[in-house]
Amino acid sequence: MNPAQILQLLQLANIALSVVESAGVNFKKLADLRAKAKAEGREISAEELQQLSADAQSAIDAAKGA
Amino acid sequence: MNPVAGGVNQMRLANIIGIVVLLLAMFGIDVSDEQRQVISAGLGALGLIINQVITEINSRKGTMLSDNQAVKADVTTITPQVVQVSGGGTDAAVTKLQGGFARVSALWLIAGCVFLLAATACTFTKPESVQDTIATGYTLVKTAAQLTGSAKLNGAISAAQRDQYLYAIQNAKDSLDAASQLVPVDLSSAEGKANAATTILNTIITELKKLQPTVQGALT
Repeated sequence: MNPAQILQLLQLANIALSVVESAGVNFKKLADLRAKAKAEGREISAEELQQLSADAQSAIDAAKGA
Repeated sequence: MNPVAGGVNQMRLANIIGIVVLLLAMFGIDVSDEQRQVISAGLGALGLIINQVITEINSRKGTMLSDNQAVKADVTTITPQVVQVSGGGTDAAVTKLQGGFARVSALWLIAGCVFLLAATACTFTKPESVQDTIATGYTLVKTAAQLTGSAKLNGAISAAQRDQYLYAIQNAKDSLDAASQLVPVDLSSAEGKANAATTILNTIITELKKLQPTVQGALT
């Protein structure tokens, strides 16, 4: 395995870790939101959906500057 | 991966997911919470896939779109006069026909996406399922954007690829925003369900009316 291939492998491992970390945090938040709504005997509200939408847009805008 | 071949495979996957959802709707299968979450995640991913296919179709035409309206804008900028200037005789006719097919394909994919979102809202009659579907979609969009940013920072993708992926992700997010407008205030009553169905049908009719002149223009 040449240095370029090793570097590529490290990059892939780094990305895989990022995916696991990001997805884990994001879906934990979603699960918490569901649990909170369920505990309060209601559905996910329009305001909460708007907040999720804003979060998603922020992530897109941040990625544009990456 | 060949982008065209990739697009075909993604479309097949999108079709399979769509058929499964429609079958569930047709037979009224009462799915469990876990199964519903999987379907919700699949639908969120489907939005991404469809938008990616649209992006690929447009990139094959050599056009990089910047927003949702760009598809329509693109159609208006490619006129028969432009085709006649660039080609001649049979070549012009072939060019026009190919352009027409590409445009109709993209437009019908958009219409299909709108229809799928509406069908999703109809499929899941329980209120929490509709909200869950959209909330899961937003979570997938956020994760996909973070992944794209990470991939660019790590040098795994180029700036152009990043822009292309973010364009697809932004479209998926915009689709979810549109779907969130369909979330009915009250689905617990028969009246609430009827109102929701009316809203959804009106949305579909409005979208199809918007598409009609453009499709006709592409065919003639």
